[in-house]
Amino acid sequence: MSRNTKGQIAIEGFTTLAVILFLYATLVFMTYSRDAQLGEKTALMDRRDACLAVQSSVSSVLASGNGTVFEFGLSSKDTAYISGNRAYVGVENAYACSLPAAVPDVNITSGTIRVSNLNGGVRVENA
Amino acid sequence: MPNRIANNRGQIFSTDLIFAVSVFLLLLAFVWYSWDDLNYEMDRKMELSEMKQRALDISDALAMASGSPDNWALDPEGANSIGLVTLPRQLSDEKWSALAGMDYKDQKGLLGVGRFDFWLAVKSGGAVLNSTGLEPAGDFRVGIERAVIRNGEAQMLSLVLWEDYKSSFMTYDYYRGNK
Repeated sequence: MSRNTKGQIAIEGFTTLAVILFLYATLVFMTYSRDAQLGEKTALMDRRDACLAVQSSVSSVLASGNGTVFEFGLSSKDTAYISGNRAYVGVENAYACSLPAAVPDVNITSGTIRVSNLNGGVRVENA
Repeated sequence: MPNRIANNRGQIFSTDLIFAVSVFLLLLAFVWYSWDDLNYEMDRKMELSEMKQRALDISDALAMASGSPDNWALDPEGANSIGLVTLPRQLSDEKWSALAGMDYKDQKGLLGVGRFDFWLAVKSGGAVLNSTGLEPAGDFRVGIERAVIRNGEAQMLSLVLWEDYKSSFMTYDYYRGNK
């Protein structure tokens, strides 16, 4: 009699624990999937930021005239690709913005970026 | 019979039951704490994401738009929205002075920073030439920089949105101290 009672408590106890753990696992899964969506949104914003930072620097250096050298910090984890012929900056094939002038093709990564307007041409490079 | 009843009563308060309840409560406490911790981290990430979105929108508007009306600097109190340029990326000293001369609360309203605090600066070669707003406190912040032209020189317009995260979430700090 005593053993039967103990057995019942154990089964009920395990069922309760299993239900709690199942609910917890479901909540954790939902949180991580929300986290992944948020991560994608943040990555897109970082790319937009990097793209517009390069675009604004090239525009400003171009407008400031020959002999201007300008440096800024790029903190993006991604690589930005500048296509001179098509005059655009692309970041990881996920975000692109136009450039106001032809700039030699280059890949730039995070760090200090130097934009120079020398001898009538604008050049972008990692400093 | 009386002995049997006494035995049954004894079983209710057995060590097994106390052990089972303790394990259950420990597990419940663990689940509660880790769920709370996960939520705290998610709140932080969402807050940063919103801050970044706002900072991007505001900095682009400041560096690319003239504001509404165009000549809002003549009557800052009548401004509907503000931009700091006359032409895209051509920073206007007149508009900068008009913004810097405003009350911080009015600046926040016109910039649309919402519940966040802000610090706006014009830099050249890393040195701050002019600034307005509140200098950031703590590391819960987002900074956006855009190149602009001022008096023919390329300079940097730097916007930082920040928040004293601990004081906005006092409940969490109560549990976590300096986290």
